[in-house]
Amino acid sequence: MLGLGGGVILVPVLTLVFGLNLDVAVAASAIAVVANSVSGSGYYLRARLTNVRLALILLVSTTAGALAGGLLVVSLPEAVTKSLFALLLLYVAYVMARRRVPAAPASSVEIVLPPDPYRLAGRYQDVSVNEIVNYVPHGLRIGIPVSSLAGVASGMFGIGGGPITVPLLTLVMGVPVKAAASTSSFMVGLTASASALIYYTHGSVNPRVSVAAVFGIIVGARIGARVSGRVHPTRLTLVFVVVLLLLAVSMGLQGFGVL
Amino acid sequence: MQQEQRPGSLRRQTTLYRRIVGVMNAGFLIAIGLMLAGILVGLVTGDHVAKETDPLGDILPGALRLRAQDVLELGIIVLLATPAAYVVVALVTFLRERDLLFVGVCLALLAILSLSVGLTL
Repeated sequence: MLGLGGGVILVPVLTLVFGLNLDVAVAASAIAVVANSVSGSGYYLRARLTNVRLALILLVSTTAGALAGGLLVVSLPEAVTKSLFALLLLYVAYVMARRRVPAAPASSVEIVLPPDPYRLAGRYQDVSVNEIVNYVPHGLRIGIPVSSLAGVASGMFGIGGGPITVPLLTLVMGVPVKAAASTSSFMVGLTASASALIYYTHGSVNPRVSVAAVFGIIVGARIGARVSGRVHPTRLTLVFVVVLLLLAVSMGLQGFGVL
Repeated sequence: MQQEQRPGSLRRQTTLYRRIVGVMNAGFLIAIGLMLAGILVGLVTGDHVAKETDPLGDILPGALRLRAQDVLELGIIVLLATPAAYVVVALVTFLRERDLLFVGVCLALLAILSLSVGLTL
């Protein structure tokens, strides 16, 4: 419904509401994020919204980052991880609060696209405006290192990395927002699976919790897809931002040992 | 002036996308099927699913013996392996196209994933 992959909500809910250890919640979230990506990306691939070539290039650094993040989180004290997660939630709330309805693509206007030496150009039909959208991603020199940060965040917190990847693709690399969300959704599956294997080694995977999270996130995504068309986007975003802020405060207080 | 994709490039892209979707759908259905089967086996036999995972090497033999925990865990492993499977599919497609840059990209990705798997063994 909000294009964040579910992990941002799942980890705080599993720790704060169900009282699970953070590492167990992060592992379950990462596995659920993989399920969400694998089950949901098919539609976007068929619609050509996903840019597979761009995703694969960025995934090299993102997956390496996820591996590093996975190793980091199993060695950090839980209080530190919770405090960092609280900061991440605040960042996501900030990004969501600033989110604007994207302008209609100007594909009807003749524009000069940048050179495309790696053949990363994307082309899809935007059914909402009945236009063919052409774009050429740029800024790989910035995109590759920044996407590794998305990987580290994904590895540490089991969230997939969408809150970092989508702004990176749209704001820095010139990818239209629909293509960016679809490409990010495709990427998080591989990123989260790399870190989930690390959690396996560390014994953080609780099969019962993980399978419940998988079914929960899939059912939730289906309900979200149906509900999102009936709820005003601004109201939806506002509710989500408030929930994120509450979760950030709770998680931060736990991190500092107050709760 | 907008860049148009050439018909050959579009056809290759369509093939790649179709193969990836096929792998994703198959992986997802098998994984969910195994998870449901694990739950079902647990309900029928009263086999307990522990909070901890079994060692990776024990999962397949356990699943073949219809141990609920291992059937369920095999579902999780298949799910986690599905993204790696579509990288393999992409690698084969790029090899056939002799697209060496993306062959290298896919190999790098598989090397990182192998490192991740290596750390689990």
